[in-house]
Amino acid sequence: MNAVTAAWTKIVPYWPLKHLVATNPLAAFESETLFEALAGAKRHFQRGQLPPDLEAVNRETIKWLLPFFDQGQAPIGLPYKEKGLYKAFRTLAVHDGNLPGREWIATLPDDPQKGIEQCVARLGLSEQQLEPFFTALLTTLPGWASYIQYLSSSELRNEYLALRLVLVCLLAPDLRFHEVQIDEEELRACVDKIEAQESTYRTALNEKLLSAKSSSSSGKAQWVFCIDVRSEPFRRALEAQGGHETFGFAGFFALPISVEKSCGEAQASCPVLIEPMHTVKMKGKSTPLSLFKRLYHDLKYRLTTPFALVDLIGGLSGVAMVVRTFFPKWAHRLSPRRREEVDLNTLPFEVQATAAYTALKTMGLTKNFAPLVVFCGHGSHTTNNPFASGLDCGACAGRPGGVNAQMLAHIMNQPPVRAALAEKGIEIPQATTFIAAEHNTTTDEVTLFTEAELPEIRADLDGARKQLGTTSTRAYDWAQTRPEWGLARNAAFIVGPRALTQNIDLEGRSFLHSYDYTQDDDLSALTTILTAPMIVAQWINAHYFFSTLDPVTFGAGSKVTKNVTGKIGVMQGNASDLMNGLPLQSVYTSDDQPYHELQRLYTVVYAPKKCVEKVISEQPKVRELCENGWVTIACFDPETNLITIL
Amino acid sequence: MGYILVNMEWFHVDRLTVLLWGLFALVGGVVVSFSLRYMAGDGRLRPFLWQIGALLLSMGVVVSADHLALFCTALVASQALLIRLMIHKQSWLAARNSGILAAKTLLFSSLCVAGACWLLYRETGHTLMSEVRLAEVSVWPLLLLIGGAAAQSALIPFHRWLLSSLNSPTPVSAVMHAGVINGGGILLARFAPLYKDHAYLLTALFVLGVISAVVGSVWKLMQSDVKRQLACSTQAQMGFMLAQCGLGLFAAALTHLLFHSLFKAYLFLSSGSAAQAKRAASTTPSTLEFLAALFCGLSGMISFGWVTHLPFTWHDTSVCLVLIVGVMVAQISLTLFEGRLRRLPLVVLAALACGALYGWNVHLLERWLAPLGLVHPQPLNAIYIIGTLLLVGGWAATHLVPISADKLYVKLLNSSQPHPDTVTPSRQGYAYLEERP
Repeated sequence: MNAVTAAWTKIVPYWPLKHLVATNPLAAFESETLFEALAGAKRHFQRGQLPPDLEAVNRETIKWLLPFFDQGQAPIGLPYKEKGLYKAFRTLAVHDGNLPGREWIATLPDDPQKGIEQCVARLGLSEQQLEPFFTALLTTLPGWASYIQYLSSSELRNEYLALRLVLVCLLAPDLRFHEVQIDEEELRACVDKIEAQESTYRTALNEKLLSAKSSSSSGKAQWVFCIDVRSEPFRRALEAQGGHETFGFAGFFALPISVEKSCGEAQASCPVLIEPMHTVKMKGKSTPLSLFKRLYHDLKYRLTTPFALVDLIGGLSGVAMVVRTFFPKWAHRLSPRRREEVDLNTLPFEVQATAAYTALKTMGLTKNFAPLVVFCGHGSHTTNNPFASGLDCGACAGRPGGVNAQMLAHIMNQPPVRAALAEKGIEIPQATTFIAAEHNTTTDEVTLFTEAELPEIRADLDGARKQLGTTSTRAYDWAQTRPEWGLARNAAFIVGPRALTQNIDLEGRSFLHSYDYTQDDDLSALTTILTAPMIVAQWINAHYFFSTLDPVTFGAGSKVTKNVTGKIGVMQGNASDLMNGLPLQSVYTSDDQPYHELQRLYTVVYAPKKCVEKVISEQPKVRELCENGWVTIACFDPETNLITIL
Repeated sequence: MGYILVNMEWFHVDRLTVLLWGLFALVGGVVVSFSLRYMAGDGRLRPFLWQIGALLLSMGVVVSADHLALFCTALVASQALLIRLMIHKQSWLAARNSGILAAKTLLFSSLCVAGACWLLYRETGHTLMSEVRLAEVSVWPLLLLIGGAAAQSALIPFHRWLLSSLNSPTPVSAVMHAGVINGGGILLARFAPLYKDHAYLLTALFVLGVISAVVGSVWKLMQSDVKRQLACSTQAQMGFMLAQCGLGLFAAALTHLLFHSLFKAYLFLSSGSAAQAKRAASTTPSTLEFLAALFCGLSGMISFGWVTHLPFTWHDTSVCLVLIVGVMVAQISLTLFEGRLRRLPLVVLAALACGALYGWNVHLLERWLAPLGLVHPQPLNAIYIIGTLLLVGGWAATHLVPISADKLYVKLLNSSQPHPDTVTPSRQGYAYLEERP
């Protein structure tokens, strides 16, 4: 069934709420230009109001998907869930009074693929009609299809399509999809406007870069921050305190790990491009509060006991409501917190040595070590926010990066690791200590994972926070829909030494990756940077771009009417498509005023032109993105001191 | 003067009014403050806030009106404001349809109430509720009031509008579940003394309430999205509240109304946390444990009775509520056992404490409402006993091995769906910009 496979290529995975990962919703069109992608979007995803019979099919699809994909909201789950979507549906739908002619379902074959064939025959679709028909069935309910794509099982993809087709057979037997008319002029105007905006920004950025003056000093400490655009303003503020040198590196610190919480749940803590190879365990103990929670849940999710529960704790809810609304900081102080500790000794020595070498080499920190080196991951703190993980570290697949930072700091302090590094030519002085930290991007507070006092460092961190003027009010407020701006307004990816960008205000719009071309003779570091961190940055850029361009089709809509479903995603109101993408409040200041600017990623690499050209020509994915304008790579040539777009 | 805009005699402020004013002020204050941040940047924020204010005001009038016409007018005004708030953005078709569905049901409710008020006026010649309450009336207005209350509080078969109301902004759901939806209970409590002579009507109300309580509870347990789960839960709670009215225990119903309002408003406002909140796993108890829990439940009932001074008479309906307390305490005990029966002495102590705590909680409010004379326990009859056993048995059944019944599952799944017109089946049918269609 090539048509099935082909249809699914249009669908980009949607990571669920527990670890939101940014993606380009039009990644299927990356081999084409923006103009063609927007036309493709119109053809497939922006069909407007659907015909009534297809709406009925969608309603019934949603009805079955909700309980099937539920991850723990409903105590009474869908029967036969373990047998797979198609089998469960087939067994139950024969009783479904909403489906006329439902007896037919019982006669369908067990195998979803054969089921698809039988439906195709019943609908009288010709071979040529199959692919567009299947594609349309997926793209007319794009969010749910994306979630299924995330689960990445070809069996499930077949089962879902079979379910859709069975419902079409019963509820919309005459369904045909019409070609969508495209207003090319309107699209052209839209693209032109975006390009004009991009060009203005890029010219200004180039001028800034050419006029930057460095004044680096590392008397107190060297810091390695994540490349995330939110690190940039904080780095600048910290450097302004004096004695701090900062670097930018992907926040997973080159550790392909997954983190297993003490409750047993494991989650990857590295970019989704990389398969986690090792598991790091967290240690923590249960608190007496978990008993109250269990009592509460046992009373709430049963028959009859909820009636009495209400009378028992109704008054308490009233108090909680007042405290959380009017005194969010108290509420935060009173709320139970569980600190889990990392079990640091879980990685084999070879992995430690390789990670240590790769990390130092790629970030260009191989000599002139300060007495203190801090690996600073980042996370966020928001309250009552289903999209919380979307504000955590993207390089850690929607997790806070503190664990990775702690692992790497621990590794670097091991004498055998240092010996192995020395063999490869990286001499770390005895007096140098590595520690880990985590930057809270919502409050700009930094947690240091060390028992040492470090009064000077802590004072400088406080100074940096004061300079930025960040407060924590929004972080603890349960009514806040804009706790922080996340990566909104991101526009550029700058690869080079900090000297290149120091002392210029990049407005928190640039990913900064440290790179020293003089230490990268084989171009392996630059290749890694352009094929991994830059790709992740491009996903983030496209994610924000399309959520801003069309907050209904590619964004999650307004938080005001959101409805969290199955713990995996949000719907709008009673029931709807699974709203993948960023919520309106993450990219707009009001219903019609965008905060994010529509710009594709602009990458500037500080290296000789021929080096950059070589990497681009050797990497097909990078070349594809460049040729089609999804990323524009410019080279800042150290020899000529000129910035040229490649 | 000759012309008085508002006659103060049209109002009657009693202890119930004060209690409910307090509730509306609390919930209203929280919701307005919450909305100011939650809906910042929303194109309809200003009219939204005005309408929330007007809604709270009209609810305040509903609970303080003494004149029948004023009562009806305020009730209709609160319903109309609620509907406008529910729709919020008219460009979103599904939301508009939710509003229309609610309008139809609530219109039925207000027609029933207006009809009842008119009949009460015709039969007694009084226009003030405080006077009507003392008179003797026929069964018809009372029947109409039950119809109005059932529709307002979304009992089966009037439940669809409530299950389809989640296109509303979250703060509207909070106000709705803490205010307007409780109208049924307030309505019946206001006319409670009239039902004394028509006991069979109360039995009928009890049946209606128990059906909603049981079915709504099962629906709730089947829902995968947090807001519909909360809506089904409200429907069950409303069923329970009106069943309490049916038992003749109006004060208990009002207490429940008050606590439920706070509870549900809180849950709606915090519904954004649903994805992160993990449900604690529960275990199946052994027979011995279950029996021990029942014993603890009995202890809880004793301490509850002791605190509330409820005499242990087995011949009136107050025993039904005491049994529900027993069920709750038994459940708490089961959780506390964690499979270790040697904890029994400790758990009995905890059970006694729970029963007492619960008793004080409820008793405090019932004492406050006592002068209103809202406690009319009915003599027990077969229907009351069956209904209560159904509730107790339902709880016990959740501890048995789940029965798999495909047909029933699909039937319940289908019946708990929102009205098809209020679902958003195509992505682009959703709209957040206020553009007139």
